[in-house]
Amino acid sequence: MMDRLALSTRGLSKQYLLYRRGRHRLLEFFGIRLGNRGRMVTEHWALHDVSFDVERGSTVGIIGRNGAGKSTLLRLLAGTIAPSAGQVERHAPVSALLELGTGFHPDLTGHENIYASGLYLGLDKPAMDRVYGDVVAFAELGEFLHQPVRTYSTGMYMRLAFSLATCIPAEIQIIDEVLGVGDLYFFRKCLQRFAQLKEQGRTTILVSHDLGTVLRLCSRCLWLDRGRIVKDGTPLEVVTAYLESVYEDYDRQAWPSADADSADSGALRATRAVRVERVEFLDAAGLSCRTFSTGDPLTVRITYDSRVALAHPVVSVGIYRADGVLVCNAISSLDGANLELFAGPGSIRLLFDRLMLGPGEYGVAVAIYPSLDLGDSASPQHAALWHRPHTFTVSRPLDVAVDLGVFRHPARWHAERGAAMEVKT
Amino acid sequence: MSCFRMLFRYRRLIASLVWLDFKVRYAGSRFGLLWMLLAPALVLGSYLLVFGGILQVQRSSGWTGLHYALLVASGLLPWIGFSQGLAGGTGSVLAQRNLMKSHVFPVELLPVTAVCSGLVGQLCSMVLLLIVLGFAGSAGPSLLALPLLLVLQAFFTLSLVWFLSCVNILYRDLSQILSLVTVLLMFISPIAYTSEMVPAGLGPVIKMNPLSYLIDWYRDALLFNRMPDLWGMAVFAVLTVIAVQIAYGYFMRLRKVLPDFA
Repeated sequence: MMDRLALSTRGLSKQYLLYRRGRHRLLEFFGIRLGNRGRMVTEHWALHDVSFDVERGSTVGIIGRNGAGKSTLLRLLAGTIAPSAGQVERHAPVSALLELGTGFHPDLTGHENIYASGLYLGLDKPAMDRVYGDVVAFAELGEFLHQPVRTYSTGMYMRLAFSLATCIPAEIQIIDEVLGVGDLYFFRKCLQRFAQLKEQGRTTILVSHDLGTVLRLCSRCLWLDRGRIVKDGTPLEVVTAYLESVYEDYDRQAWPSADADSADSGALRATRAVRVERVEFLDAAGLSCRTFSTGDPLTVRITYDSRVALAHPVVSVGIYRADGVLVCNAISSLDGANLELFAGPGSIRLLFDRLMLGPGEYGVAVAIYPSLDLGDSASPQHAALWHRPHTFTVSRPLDVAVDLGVFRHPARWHAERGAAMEVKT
Repeated sequence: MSCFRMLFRYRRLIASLVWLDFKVRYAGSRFGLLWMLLAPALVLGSYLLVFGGILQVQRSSGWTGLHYALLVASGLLPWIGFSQGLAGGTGSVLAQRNLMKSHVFPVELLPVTAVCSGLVGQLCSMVLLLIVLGFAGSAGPSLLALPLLLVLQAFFTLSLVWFLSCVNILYRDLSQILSLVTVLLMFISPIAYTSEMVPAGLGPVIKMNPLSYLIDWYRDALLFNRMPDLWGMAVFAVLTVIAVQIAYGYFMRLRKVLPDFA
């Protein structure tokens, strides 16, 4: 059982104390406890009760938003900081690349820094001699190897650091977000390196904001949010769930809510008679989906709860582009639909047989009116507004690579023989 | 684990770190390692200019110029070794805080490295001094006490920097304060004068400064060719061992939380 595991954590937590005043911190540092601690210290849990096992030979990706505790977790796993509670059990030696080129002395040459880093990693000269060739080969510094590191470009710096971290014979690799720094060539080299490590049966734990990398490299993915593990599973399911949540938060932030709109114009005011519960986008199979291709069918399902019955309501669904342009506005009465709203829960579907929108991100605003006079530009009173517009994404059809523009207008084509007939005026 | 066992265990790593420290310090400088001799020589020159040339300290005691120069040198070199170890050691952990956060590294070795670097520099210039002393004909068997004195000085400095390097993480004003204290300490240490030259009324000031004992003993061994006060050295050694253990214990107790504060 133990042989199977490379690493495991139990109830791992890290707390940082934020002192109101410097001198309180100083006193505690000398072992003097403060009387009323709560008033002088704010506790911040960077990581809270995190437990998981990492199997040997697996590649685990850790994703999450900034400040979720990813780097703290990596540091705890590597053992550079001590947990406030819980424990980490390492069943194999760990090598960590947590920061870009720490321990590099700018005035020493690359060659000298390789040996210097060896000291910091606990490797003596003979051990470094054995890996030196590998490090140099991967870093590809050329003649810069014997130049001071301060003359290096970021990419060279990065290559040397990455090369050092992965050439050290440790069974567990811990790598913080560092892949984004290099160019495409280096990135591909890194991927290859990861594949090699995997073949050798080495365990890798990495943090990345590049979800594509996570999907590609990892056999398992952890999603951290506010110091806790939200989801743990296959990269595909975790990344999907993570994206979904990011979208949701983004919607709340970036798209102006219909409520705010109505407050601005003053005239628009939502009555509480009908409440829009949910707006979903359904694909051809009727499943909730956020990504469509131009030409796909799209169904907008509006789930509502009404306190009153409305005999001739008018429902409008506005589709907005990210820059606020109203791309189209589907109005039920204009489309000749005669809907009826009953009291209680219900749903309305709006069907687009073929989505004609070009690639991009779109937001949707829904309004339900008791009645609407299309000839009157003055805004009528709403029955309900969907005040948290959802977004969906339209991508190009898989077999089309050319730019289709913002709108794919339905069109018919004809070809005729001979000169075109002139139109007589 | 006692600090002596820890030091023994890491003796090779410490040696490599000291070597690295010298490389880093002199990388890209023109005179390189020569500065190890050049810097003390320049300080000695200014001392002799001020105290020998202007204030004529040697007159009142009837020293010859060369003898006074050797007297200052034998006190100055331990002082330089100590003050370099003190300043470097106190700042060592803070200076390498990224290392502490991103590598699993025995941080307690950083102050040790700084102290050893100071000592190595001191030793190099002392070898030069010994050569001069050999020519001046004042070298004798009392030189055997020299290694003992170096060890005492090393642990004495170490006990200070293990404590101060920790405090420095939290209390950044320390390095400022320390540079002032060092200047004061330099003047109340018997470098340009001997302890015997101090007026009786000011005696306690010198007696309270542990460095003055060390410097006196160095001078006894190097210059006056007399065995240093063995009882005094024994007491100093016992106190130093106690102090260094306490300081090491303090460092290791805080070691876990240091990265959180750095």
